[in-house]
Amino acid sequence: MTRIGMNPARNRVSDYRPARVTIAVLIYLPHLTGYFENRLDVVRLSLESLFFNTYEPYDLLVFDNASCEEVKLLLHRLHAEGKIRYLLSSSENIGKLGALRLIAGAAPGELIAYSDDDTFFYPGWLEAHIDIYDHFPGVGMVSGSPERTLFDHGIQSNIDRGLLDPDFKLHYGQRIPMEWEQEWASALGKDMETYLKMVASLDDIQLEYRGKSAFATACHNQFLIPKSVLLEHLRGEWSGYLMGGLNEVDEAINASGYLRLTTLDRTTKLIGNVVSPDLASEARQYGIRIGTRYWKRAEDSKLGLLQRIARQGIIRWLLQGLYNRLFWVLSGQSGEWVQPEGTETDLKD
Amino acid sequence: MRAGQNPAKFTEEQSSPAERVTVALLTHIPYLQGYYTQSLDVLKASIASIEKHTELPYDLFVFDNASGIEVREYLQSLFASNRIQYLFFSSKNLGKGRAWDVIFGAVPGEIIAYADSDVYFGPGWLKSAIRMLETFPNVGMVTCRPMRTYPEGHSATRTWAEREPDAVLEEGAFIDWEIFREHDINLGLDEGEVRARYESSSDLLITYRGERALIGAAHWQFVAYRSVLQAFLPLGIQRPLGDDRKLDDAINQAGYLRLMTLEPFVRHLGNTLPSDLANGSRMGNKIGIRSQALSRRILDSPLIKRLLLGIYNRIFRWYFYR
Repeated sequence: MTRIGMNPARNRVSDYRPARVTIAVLIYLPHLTGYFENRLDVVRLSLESLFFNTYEPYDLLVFDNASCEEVKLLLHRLHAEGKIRYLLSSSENIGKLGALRLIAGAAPGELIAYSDDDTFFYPGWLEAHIDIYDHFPGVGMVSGSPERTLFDHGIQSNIDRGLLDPDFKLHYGQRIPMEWEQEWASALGKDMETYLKMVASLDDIQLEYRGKSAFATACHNQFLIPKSVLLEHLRGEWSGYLMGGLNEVDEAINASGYLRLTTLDRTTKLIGNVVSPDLASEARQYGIRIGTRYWKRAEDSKLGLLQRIARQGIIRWLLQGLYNRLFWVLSGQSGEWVQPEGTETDLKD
Repeated sequence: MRAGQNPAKFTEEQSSPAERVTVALLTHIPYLQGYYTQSLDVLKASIASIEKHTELPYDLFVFDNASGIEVREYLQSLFASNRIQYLFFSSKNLGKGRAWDVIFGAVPGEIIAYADSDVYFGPGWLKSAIRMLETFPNVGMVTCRPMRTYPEGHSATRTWAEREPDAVLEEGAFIDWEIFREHDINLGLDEGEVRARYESSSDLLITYRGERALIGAAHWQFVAYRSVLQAFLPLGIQRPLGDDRKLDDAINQAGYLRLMTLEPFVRHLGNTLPSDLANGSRMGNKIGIRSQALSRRILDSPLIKRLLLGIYNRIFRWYFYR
């Protein structure tokens, strides 16, 4: 006989019920050098702001897309402390879309609040998202960080609803403050002057429904979505690319007639790959303290000889190729290293 | 703020994000005393047998349903050495049904080969199951061992076999006594009960396009198309154990076939490791380790890795540290 006794779990009832919302965070830090040198601080700030500023019940699912040991240690500690309910790890980076597929399948909640690992969450962010979701009919996505360039795709269903349904109204203007645009540009590493000049010529659009308004767009870096909608729009073949393909998902959700909205107040914020002194200070206002290391700006010092050499054409080309190749090798990826058509390899500076 | 651009943006295509088959194991070993005293050894034997006896490419997905630290550390060590491709830790025991909801929803493979963590896999188990999946129409699940299961759970299969012109249905004793006995004894039944059940029941054998299968299947080990299982989500099973037949019944009621192999490719171990497997499992652990490529091992050596990371970091700083 190889079974002795009876499994103690037999005939017992689990008191576990999934929360309505599964918050899902996707983390990918293959190492802590180069672009990722300060990213562990970013992840810690993002998770701490989530823990501090989320008041609605939720289950937290973290998908670790083959991160380095330091990140694994952090995540296992948070899991052991009960702060992460579900920790799903992949032995290889399966790309953002691949990870989203697994997240969508695994999340037990009716709603999934997805986020990249570089989002700062303001107090009450989740309530604000749910408020929009519950108020508007036919919502596909709700995001928390309004930004004017996001109106460039995936908004036709919002516009159609505003034009065709008498219960809806559209409002055009420039309600998004320039300060938010500046912070967005900084978090994305954009050239500030060019960026601000560009957004100064753009309108933002609000959609109003029965006394409540939202911006008529959403952002695929951070969004609340019904699980069924996410599953419906992630069908098809694996692309294999580590990033990209999200605009297509936005468009598909839009084409299905779902609304894609953003809270009027900024309830989340993109951090970037460095915690700026301003954001660290802002976080402290909410009681969140993390150790931060800031970039020393090289404007303060003269370029060294090696750095000047590195900026010469052929040297730069060789080093950029080596840099990209090393990223692939050090990340432990098994696939072919292929340069997708139409993308730039330049390290933008 | 952001300095530089994420290198993942610029590059890289993956060759094969997921194998066609995901082998999915569900573990729940909260401690290593009492009922669970030998459960970690059983789990090790199970995983070793998968590694040793699965001839087709697969990804291994393990859902750990709030096991104790010893089991979690063991699973993490397998994950670190790439013997597990997807590792899911739940901080609370969700019960089997809700764990199934997650597993069937999440696994990347087109085919799911599910098993509890106390199953031993023998040579040929997966190939046989996939051959049956691909030969018979509208298959819901295939279990890689012959048993006698409750008739209400496979009525649709019997009805199909009776009506299908290409299928031949026979009733009789097609399972050897020793094979029958081995499974039922493992469930904790006594010899007399097992003998009485064997003599008072029979098997239903289908022959279809050259392939033979017994009617019936078991929820502790089965192979199925992911798309079929996902059609039943969420399963709505509340109890940690004991409600598992809801899945069997749902598949049967939807008209899918529930089939078993004639050969005992898998074996239910229970909570103790039989003596004939005790040595084999230890061997399996060693044999089953997927050897890493030499280049990968060199790249992962601390000195080389440190050197390459240093170069990588220096290049990044030349361009962005200003």
